[in-house]
Amino acid sequence: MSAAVKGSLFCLETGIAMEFPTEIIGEKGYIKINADLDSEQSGEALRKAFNQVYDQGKRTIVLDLSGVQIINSYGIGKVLMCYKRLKADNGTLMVKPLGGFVKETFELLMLDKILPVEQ
Amino acid sequence: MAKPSILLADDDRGTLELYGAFFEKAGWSYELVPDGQSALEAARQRDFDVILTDLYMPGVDGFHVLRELKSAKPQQPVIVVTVAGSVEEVIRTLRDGATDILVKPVDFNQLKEAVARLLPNLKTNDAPEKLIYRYVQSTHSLFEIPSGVLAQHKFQLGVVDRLTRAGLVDRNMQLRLQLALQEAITNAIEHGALELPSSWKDEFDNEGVDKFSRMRAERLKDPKYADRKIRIHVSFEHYRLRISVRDPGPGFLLKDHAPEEQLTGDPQSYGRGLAIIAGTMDEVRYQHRGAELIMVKYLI
Repeated sequence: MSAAVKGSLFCLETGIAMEFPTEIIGEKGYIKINADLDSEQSGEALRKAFNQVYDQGKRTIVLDLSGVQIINSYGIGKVLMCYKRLKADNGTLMVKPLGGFVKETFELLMLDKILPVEQ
Repeated sequence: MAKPSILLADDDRGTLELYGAFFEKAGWSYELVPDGQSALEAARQRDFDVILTDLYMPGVDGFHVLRELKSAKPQQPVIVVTVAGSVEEVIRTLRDGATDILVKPVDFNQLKEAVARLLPNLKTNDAPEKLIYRYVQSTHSLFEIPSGVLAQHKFQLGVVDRLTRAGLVDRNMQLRLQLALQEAITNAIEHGALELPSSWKDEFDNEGVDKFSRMRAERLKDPKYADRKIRIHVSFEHYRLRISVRDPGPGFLLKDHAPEEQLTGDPQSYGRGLAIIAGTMDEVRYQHRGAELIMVKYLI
């Protein structure tokens, strides 16, 4: 398999790559998630955006969930992968804002106990 | 005519201004966005009676917008606006679920008629269905779908959408039920049909891709796995919604459930599907050595 195909493995299934914009403000990195976290596509976009911010040396990363209506176990798994990677580096993963259906899901799974909300 | 709410996506600023002026004069509620991604975000956050989208936009184009909208909201009317194109293009948009097609430059009388044709369906034509569904005694549906096909599309519970329109299920519960079903189907596909162990989610290659995702993509292309069928039975009887999902493999594994104590330490990045299902449904049980998951929700 060529490098080009490897790099786009997850794009092959859906045809279009998704991207989440990132921003550095001071010591924090922000990832704006503008899609539901319930698919390979959005999971891959989160992984890439996280790596982008992480590789710039940021160890406090904030996931902006304002554009997320639904998060399933797959999306939660991807969020927790980010959490574990930061934790291994004494970093912090935060979320903002937490509301609606996403908030209910976080509380159901007790993720609100480990992921602080940035005010 | 009732006042509709319209979402319009077009990358041409002049077009947005022109349509905006028309909607304003007509007294319609509207939102204008310059690209496909913004259209999907807006549709996710608010309900619109009709969504109009230009077909050819940079980045996320109208074809993608149409597919995503019809996947998430099958009943959403979507009118595609395009320059005169090929027959193949027309066929493609209709197959993807476009409610209507308008050709640029748009005659606003045609636009008004196109929306007016949709409005009676939205406001009054589904009233009989709403009424009738309150009196339905039972309804059953049985599906057997290859895992390769099921993995590519979100399986929507039509009965839940009808129950929502009938007022028996609110929007929040509609989302919860659809999500619970998606979790059950995902487990049936990934652990039953594709035989992927959850532990692979914590094994990464040099490119940072986990083994689970890589093997999932590979096995979905392998007929040995992709042709295995998932059986879904949905019944609604006397306000009791019962959904069963059965797969050909080991099925839904109890050990995938993350115990509470794990959350005080280092949480696993998998195993939350059962908790999501259990948090929504009134009953969850297994049959056939765990290969069949049965979920029940009482709606009164």
